[in-house]
Amino acid sequence: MATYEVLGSQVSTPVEIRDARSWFSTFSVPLESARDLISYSGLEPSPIMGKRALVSLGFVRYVDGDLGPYHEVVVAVIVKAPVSAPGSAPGEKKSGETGAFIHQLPVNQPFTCAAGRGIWGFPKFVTDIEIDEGLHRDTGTLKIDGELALKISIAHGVPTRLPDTSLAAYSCGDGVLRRTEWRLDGEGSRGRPGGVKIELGDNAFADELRVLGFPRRALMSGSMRRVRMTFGDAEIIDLEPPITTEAPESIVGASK
Amino acid sequence: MTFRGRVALVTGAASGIGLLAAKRLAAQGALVAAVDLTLEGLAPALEHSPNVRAYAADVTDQGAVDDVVARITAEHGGIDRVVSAAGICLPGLLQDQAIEDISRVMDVNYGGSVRMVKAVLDGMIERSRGDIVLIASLAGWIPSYRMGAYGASKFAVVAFGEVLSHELLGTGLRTVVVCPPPVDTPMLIGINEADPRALEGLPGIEAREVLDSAEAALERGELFAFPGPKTRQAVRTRRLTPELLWRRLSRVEDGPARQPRHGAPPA
Repeated sequence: MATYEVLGSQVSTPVEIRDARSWFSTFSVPLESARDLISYSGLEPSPIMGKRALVSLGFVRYVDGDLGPYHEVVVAVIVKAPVSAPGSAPGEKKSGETGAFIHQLPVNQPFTCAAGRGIWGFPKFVTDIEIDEGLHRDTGTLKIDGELALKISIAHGVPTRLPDTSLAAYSCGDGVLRRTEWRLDGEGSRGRPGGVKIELGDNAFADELRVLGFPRRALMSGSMRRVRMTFGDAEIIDLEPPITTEAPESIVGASK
Repeated sequence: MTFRGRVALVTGAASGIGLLAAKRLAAQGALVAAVDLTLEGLAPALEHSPNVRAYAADVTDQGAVDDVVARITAEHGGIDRVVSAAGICLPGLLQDQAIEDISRVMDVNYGGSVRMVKAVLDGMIERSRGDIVLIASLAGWIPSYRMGAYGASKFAVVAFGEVLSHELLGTGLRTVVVCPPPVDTPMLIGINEADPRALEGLPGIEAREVLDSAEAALERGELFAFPGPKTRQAVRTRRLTPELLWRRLSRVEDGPARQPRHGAPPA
């Protein structure tokens, strides 16, 4: 529990999101390319079936929460908990613990951008994000400098039940690895296998995803009509050996 | 969301459906002119949302409405969407209500919508685009005991919106008249406090459902949005068998409910 000064107002942790709507999709990508993508963090993708890793693309409409109203696009890689994760002895891995490494997190409002970077080191930057809810599919469109970067179109699935979730969100802003406890629950979950259309633009953001083999078929996709979330304080994690890789010259700087 | 414009004006943005509409429009990056009686009341709409601007105006004051629309247009450009959500409800039996109260409900709910629409309409027609979102009510289709003043004002909004949308065909403007059952908002709490028997503790639907259905109706080009389960069905019942509906309503009004149900409370 702490209080932060963000653009002249106070934000206290845990930060609460009381009402949001979210869409997500999960993809299997080559382990090697996922590892290369996030090597700057020092984290290791959680391998599935030997040679694959899981990447999640999503978009969120935050309506009522401590960070104001905004839209967000998420590019995350499912990672193994680092060996020195809090709560585990050095060198010991908490069995089965995985987390989401937040690789990209564009938003469309400056307040949440400042808060996300300042409090948790999330790679937020401000750009245009449209969310279009259609009769059969909902679409999130990310534009950078006015040009299409990524369009995620998710079919309406069938009603499903998702358990309340608590997971570790990792970020690596300015070369500092942080872990944030992220709790999430909600109502109105829908999901299905596949169901995603991805469109990529012609810029660095899209090229990163191309390296992972996008556009590709999703394993599954879904949405949640009403999501509540809380974000705790970020804990700084020192990896052994220390991170030597520099964070790449960030396309994060492409904010307007 | 189907809003493709830049500037949106929301009345009644201090709370309830108006507040949520302002937040949603702000989330998608629109410049939102949030209008309510006082600037202080608009604080929740402004929270951490630099593209929401607060404007104080009373929608029953023609001069104030014209002024605020002129200011918004001058400061931010033409208005692409108006959401008329400012409303009040004074429940009670008509025989007990003062004429001033009955007129006031009409003046805010109906008059406020008319003034605001008239103030933005010429600009929208000139630019051949604009969304007009009128928050009416299921009470604008189904009259009921203790909701006479409110129902009359919402019947008026429904008629105004229906005629308007037909007159605007071919102009490029979109109109939706939103007719929700009771909605879980501060207004509903107020109604239940003022006259617990007006809505008989009907649970409210969520404001988000109201706005979802408004967006869906705009997208489909439908004039009316009937959010909530069985809302459309209730309207159909009222149209086909109004006597049946009144019989049911009067059973509630005149039945055991009118007598003290459990005798006097223990001392």
